[in-house]
Amino acid sequence: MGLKETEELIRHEIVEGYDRYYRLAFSYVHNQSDALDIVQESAYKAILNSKKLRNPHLVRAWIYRIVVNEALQHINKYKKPYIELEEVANSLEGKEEEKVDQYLKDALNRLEEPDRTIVILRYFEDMKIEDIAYILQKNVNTVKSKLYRAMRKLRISLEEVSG
Amino acid sequence: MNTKNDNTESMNHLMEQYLNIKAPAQGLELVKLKMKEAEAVKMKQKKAFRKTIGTMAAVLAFLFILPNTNENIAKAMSEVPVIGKVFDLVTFREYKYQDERHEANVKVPEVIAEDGQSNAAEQVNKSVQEYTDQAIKAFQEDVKENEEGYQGLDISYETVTDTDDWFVLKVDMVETQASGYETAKYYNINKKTDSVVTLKELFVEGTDYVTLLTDVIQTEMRRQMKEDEAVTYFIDDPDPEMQDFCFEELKEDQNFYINAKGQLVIAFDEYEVAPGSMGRPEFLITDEAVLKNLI
Repeated sequence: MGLKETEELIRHEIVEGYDRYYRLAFSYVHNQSDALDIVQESAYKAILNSKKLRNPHLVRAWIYRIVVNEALQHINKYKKPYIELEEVANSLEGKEEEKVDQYLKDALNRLEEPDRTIVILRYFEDMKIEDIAYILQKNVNTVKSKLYRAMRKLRISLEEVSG
Repeated sequence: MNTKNDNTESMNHLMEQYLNIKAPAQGLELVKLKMKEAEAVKMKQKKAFRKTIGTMAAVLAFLFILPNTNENIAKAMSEVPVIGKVFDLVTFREYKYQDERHEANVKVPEVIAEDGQSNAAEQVNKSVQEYTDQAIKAFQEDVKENEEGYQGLDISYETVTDTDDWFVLKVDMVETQASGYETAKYYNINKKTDSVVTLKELFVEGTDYVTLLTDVIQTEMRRQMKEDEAVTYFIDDPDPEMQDFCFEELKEDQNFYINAKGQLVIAFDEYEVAPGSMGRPEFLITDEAVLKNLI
């Protein structure tokens, strides 16, 4: 695949997958303008470094990788305090079901990185473990064990709230 | 309560919420623009890299010739009889830096008047030093902060024109980096008045030189594009995304120089009015409507 074609492939994937990359970015920063910044910067870098994509089959994972790195950098740079969602959940008056949902959301947001990203990519975006390993530059077994640990934590949080 | 079912159900709710995060539609346009920008930068890098290689070759050739001809040229130059001031260029300072991914090769020129006294020289030197100091500072910051890719800074200079009336210094800058540009800056010294001349000052006071020159250059751009398909300028582009890049009006302080024949040449930097393949376009102004307004 020629350089021009690779670039075109990346451009196409970014346009088609814009929503996908945006929501992942959003899940790190919880606001529209920062999420957009991250996606724009990622798109810029992806095109600029298009020749580094060796395997065209990995285009989606490759772009995710840029977005994840960009998001982490963004968080480190601005050191935005994480929203204490737990407090929100505790004060939440509503149906039991909503409360459980909110609790799970808090628990997810409170997971360490990259565990949180692993859960999102595996369960919400239906990515393969191998691809997630590529995105995060970790080996497959590490991703598996982190995923296992993260899901255990989530379950414990849920058991706490639903008694 | 069946925790396991709750768990799955909640997880599904959470997934729905996640997938419902809506990206703003106008954001996609910004993303597309960013990709275009990246493309342009890549083109620039390619061009700048080629240019750097070219510069290196030129420097090598120059070193070979120098020992044989330097003295003769200097002698010949100093014997040319001129009215007005006599100027010369020397390298005021050099800055070199090299590591694995960064390279700087800077020669800062200084204009010297033979009689040692010149307002114009002083003015040019001050401006050149500010201009180059800024570039060096930016490069040094890049060395500190930027850990990816190659960064290069090349600054060189030459005498473009040296006639009875005019002394023109050109400072070339090649920045090879993520947001790099290849630029030239001209300093036009009127020897008779010992002053640095701006574009505005070339014209009779009150002349709308911006409109005059814009018209002439736009006409010439269209003529060239009609004549040769390979020629492209950023003008009359139907693509709305390109409209912002189109050449609609000359900058008041547009780069220009006076050539050896005493003619006005308007000079654009790379990408200023044309794609990189066009290099740095220059327009020799011979139009009567403009010339009659020149001082």
